[in-house]
Amino acid sequence: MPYLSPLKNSQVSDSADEIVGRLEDVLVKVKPGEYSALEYIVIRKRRHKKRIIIPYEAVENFSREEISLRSLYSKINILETPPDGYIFLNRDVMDQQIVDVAGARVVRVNDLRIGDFEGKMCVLGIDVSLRGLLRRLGLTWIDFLGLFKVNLIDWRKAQPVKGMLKLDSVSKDLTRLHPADIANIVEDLSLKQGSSLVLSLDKNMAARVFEEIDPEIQKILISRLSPEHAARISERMSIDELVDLLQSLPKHQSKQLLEYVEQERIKKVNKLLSYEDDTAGGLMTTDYLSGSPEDSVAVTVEKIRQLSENFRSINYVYVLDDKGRYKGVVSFRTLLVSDPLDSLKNIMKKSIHLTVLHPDQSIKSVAHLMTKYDLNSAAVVDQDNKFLGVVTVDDVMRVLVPNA
Amino acid sequence: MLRFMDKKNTKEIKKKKLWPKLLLIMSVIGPGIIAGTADNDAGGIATYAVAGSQFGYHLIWILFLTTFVLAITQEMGARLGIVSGKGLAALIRENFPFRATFFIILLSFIANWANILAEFSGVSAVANIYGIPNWLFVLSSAGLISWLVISGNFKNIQRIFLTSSALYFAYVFAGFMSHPDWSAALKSIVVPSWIPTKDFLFMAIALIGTTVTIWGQFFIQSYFAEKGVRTQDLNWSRADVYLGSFWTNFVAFFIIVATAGTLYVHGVTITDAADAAKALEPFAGVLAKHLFAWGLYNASMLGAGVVTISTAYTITEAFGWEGKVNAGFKESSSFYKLFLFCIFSTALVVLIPNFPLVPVLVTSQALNTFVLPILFFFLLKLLNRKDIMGDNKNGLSLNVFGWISILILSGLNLAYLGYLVFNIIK
Repeated sequence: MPYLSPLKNSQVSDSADEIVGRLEDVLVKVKPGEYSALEYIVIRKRRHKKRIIIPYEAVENFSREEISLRSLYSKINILETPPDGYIFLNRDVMDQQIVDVAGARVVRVNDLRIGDFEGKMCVLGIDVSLRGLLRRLGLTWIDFLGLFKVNLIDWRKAQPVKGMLKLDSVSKDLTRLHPADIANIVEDLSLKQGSSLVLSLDKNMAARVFEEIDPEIQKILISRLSPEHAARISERMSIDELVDLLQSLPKHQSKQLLEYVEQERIKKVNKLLSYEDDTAGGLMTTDYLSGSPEDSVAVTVEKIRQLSENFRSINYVYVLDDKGRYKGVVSFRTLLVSDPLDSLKNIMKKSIHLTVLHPDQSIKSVAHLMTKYDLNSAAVVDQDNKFLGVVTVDDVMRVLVPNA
Repeated sequence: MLRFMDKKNTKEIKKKKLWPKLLLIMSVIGPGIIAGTADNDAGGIATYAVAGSQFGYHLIWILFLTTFVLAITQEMGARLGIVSGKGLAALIRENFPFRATFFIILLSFIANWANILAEFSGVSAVANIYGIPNWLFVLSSAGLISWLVISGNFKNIQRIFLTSSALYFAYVFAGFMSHPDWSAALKSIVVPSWIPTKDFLFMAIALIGTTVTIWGQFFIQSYFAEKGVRTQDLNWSRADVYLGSFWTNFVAFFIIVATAGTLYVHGVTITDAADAAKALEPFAGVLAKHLFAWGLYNASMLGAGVVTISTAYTITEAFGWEGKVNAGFKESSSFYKLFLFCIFSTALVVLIPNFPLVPVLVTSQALNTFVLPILFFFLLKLLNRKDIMGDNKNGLSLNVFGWISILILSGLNLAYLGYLVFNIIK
């Protein structure tokens, strides 16, 4: 099976068996979801410091036994400088980190598997195994029992890291991963690369990924981003996550970040900041959908349509009166099956029959109540029954099962 | 039933990777200080104690020199880490041939492993001083370190680290209690003296090798890289590194003074740190003995922890196994496996009866000084790369200092090798 590493520094000869030089590198173009064909080879000329670049079409044989050109060296079109938009396999991929998109992890490239695909010599896979390392050392014979298995990652499912974590060059497969998986990848990368990956994502995704990142790394990352970028991310973060972040930052930094947050959100943030961390108040979010008792189902559904961008895991509409008092709750399911002309007050579950939380209730009792009554979310109200926010089951889970 | 915890605690537990957890502790104290403190580990204390007892104040000027070498090389490592955002092992792997990477990582691993061995021999020595059964004390200490690092109870680690840093003042007290000849001691800082014997040369090499270390070079860079220090804070990190370099040699000075003022003056020779603790008693009082012994235990444990973390981290980084730290539970990851391997293999080796500990430790220190120039060579190459360092490339003067350090180290190595060869021929 051909690998790239044994070919490096092999002699390249032309059709007259004249030695041209030694193979130094191979240029490919990375296209998402495709095996990259070898397009140019870089040759270090004999007794010259000069490097020349030859199109891969001019190559006859490309194997460990022989690398040879189809014609005489003098008849080949030679490039002096590398064309734009290509990456160097040895310089930019070999020994560098890549993102294994399927496995949602970051690995180091030990070798590259090349081979024929649809009549073209392509990079097919990335060897990340110990056997790849032994091959690099020329010590494969040590493993005569075949204990070390080759572990290949499909080239199409890999995202090179070096110089490639910029807008538009990040593969769609990667951005389609779950935010928690992307967050894992960001944590694995170096800070620089991690932050450029975050910045390559669209606003909403970036915010969601950011929320999933380990708080300690979050703190470091945000201080590395420019204020504008930090603002762009914090703008789309949910209020409770933003508050957690602000609390963990040193004063001057959180102040700086707050300067970019809208006035309305600041009010909410300040309110949340006033609750203790380990209470329902500290746990709740103030991103919720609400309606008045007189609203019709049709109006409410339209509202959901318009606002769903800004709200994520919300499955209920909370019904509040004009003084902001908690009246009842309507699930999306109820909305779906009700008469569009009916008003919310007729279909809602009345708050007096529901379990409500108080802001100073401890996490322990919140979890207890939510488990007991099988609640996905619960409203938090003050002593005048004024609606304050919502605690969802995932907020609680995150505290209870922090290592996930 | 689920266990409940308050949110503050869980936030600390949530860390998936070890490194960020360590950062948390060390956000209080700078990395330079940590490296500097852990530098005075069991091997260091033994070397200083023996150096003082054998050669009195004659070797103190070497400390003065190593302070500079340490400060310069650590500053370069810190800068490389800050600007590139990567550890030294990763950078070497990415920018040099794989065989070279493998070679340097392998040598570093061997030298580090022997270094950890030295830490447990320090633990064992403390057991001897107090007559505690060796196996019990060494194994429970190994268990304690593993538990502290793997469970990641950071409040405890932080407390322990702060206490143990403070414990280094034990040596300063021990130094004062030995009533040394202060004027001679201070004069010897700047006035070089040389005794043309093999032992003196070896001791000079050992002094440098125990202070300027391979693991320290990897540690400081990874630390700064992962801490996310910004390029504009380079000056702050510089100050931290310089302070750490000063601190490590400041403590070393007092250890040498303590044994020089007592043992050397009375012609008592010792071969290790435990000897030093026992031998100090008649001259400097029973308190000095206890201070010395507990300082040694503290240094051994701290060294074992930091050197092992640095070693495991270096290897996972070089071979690309760091990504798997997240896979499944912690124990299954390469990092923790390597960590536990280093801790328990060394602890067990120390317990082998009649194990030739001293030759192994001596060889390890020689290996350390042998590998250092190679490592510095890589370091200098990387620091002169415009594509990595940008405007923070090494200036001319730093390059000159760097090369001088490499030359001094290589020169000392060659001289020592020359002595060895000469002796064999003779």
